[in-house]
Amino acid sequence: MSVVIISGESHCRREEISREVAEALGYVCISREVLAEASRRYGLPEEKLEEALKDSSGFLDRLSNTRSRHLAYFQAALTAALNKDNVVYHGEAGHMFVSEVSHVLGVRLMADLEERVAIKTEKEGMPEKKARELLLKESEQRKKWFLSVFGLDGMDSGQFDLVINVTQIGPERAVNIIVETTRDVKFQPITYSVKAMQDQELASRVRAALIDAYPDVTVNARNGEISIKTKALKKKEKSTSIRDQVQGMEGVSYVELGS
Amino acid sequence: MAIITISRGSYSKGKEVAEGVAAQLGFECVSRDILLEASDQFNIPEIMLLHAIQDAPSILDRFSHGKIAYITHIQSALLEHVKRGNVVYHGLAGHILLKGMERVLKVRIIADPALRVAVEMERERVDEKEARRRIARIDEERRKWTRRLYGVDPWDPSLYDLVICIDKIKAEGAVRLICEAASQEAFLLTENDRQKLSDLALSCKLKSELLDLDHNVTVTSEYGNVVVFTKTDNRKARKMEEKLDSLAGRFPELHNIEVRIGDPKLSADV
Repeated sequence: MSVVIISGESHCRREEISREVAEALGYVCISREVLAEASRRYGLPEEKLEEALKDSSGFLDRLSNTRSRHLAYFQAALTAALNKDNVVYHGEAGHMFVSEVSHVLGVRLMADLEERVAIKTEKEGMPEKKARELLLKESEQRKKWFLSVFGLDGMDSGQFDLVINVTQIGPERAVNIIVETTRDVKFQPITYSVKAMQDQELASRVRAALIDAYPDVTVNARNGEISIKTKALKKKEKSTSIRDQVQGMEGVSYVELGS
Repeated sequence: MAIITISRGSYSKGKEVAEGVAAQLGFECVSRDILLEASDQFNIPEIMLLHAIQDAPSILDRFSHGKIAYITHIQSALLEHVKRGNVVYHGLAGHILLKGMERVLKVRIIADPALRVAVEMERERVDEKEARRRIARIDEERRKWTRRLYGVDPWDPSLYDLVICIDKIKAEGAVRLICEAASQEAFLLTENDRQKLSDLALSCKLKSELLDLDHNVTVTSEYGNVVVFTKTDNRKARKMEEKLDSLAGRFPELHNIEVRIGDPKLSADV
């Protein structure tokens, strides 16, 4: 019983492998459902939210912190889905939105460029040259996006428990390797890690509720106790307003404010 | 029959994992031993070979080609083991020393940075700042080594088939995953692969013998038919021929030798 987050470049059989891992484990497999839930919760079209997961220029952030806000909504929906346990999520950078939760297995899938080109060519019926160009451009943009959002190299293996090259290992073995790893005792939820996941969900939900009015807000949660930091707290009336808003949210037991 | 290379970061338990994989699969486990063999075979102190494989080459090394020569000797000793198959090699640059071999399972074992710092602090009795500095220096040295000699970054995950972070996944878990990956048909050596390995080993051994005559010599082999390419003059080429003739008896897999002045065109070149 754990959570598997599978990321990877496009056309590396991520969806197929994720579905098979979920099937083998009897877990739920989700991906775009997270965007749909964020869209429902925060009343924004899915396409707008998706842009935030792709905008590598930071252009959206220069427009009233749009990218940060939309990513906060995405994170709130993602952590809510992962909090239910027994989930395989596949999508870009999912592992970066859930840290410090020991029962989460972070996997990155890769495939040789030639294989990705062949898959794209067949799937989208485009010339090989065009498919290669698009994939290389996409990789470059993903790199920039990761750096601009998290300040890290998205290719760095250190962020994952496992990195698998599907071209060599093969999709079937990749599924076996992931399934085998989830059975390891370290990826089983324990009281502490379940609490850590609940706290992440709560902190993400509170941040998503505040980020519109307070773009610099940071939120931490520990056993339902919320700690909020924003420059706006220097004004007394803002402190009262934030406290009132957060105090009534589900799962919040105590609110501490600091600037 | 398979070949597994395990590239390991410091304090990643890569040695333990490699030995575990070899024991489970009944394979030979090779690492530093090849330095000793290269040291005996080419009459070079082991410490020189160790420096060659651990330290980044200096500008002077690149001019003198000393490091490249040492690495050719190490590669030659490694290929002697690997050509028999059923081998786990652990240590720096296995995947690079066996470049051109497709059916090699290339694994990298890394450790959580916080864990590495903690181990360094405990082992060397230094504070956290010093431990971080030392680890960063080791990593940088290794990066420079592969970048300068082979133009690739050892941290680039696309160089490997499987990267395992030792933290939540323990050494025993890593052993199981590698054995599972190695059972894939794609990693079982075919007759053609064995021939390629034998050619690569032969090219490498002959190159090691010729480096004193030409540091830039290229040796190719296909089914034991060896072609040596040198950009030196006819006199040096003749010396090479004489040396190769005298060595021929030592290599039963050698069918024919030719020395040419120019660039290589064949594939199994070193």
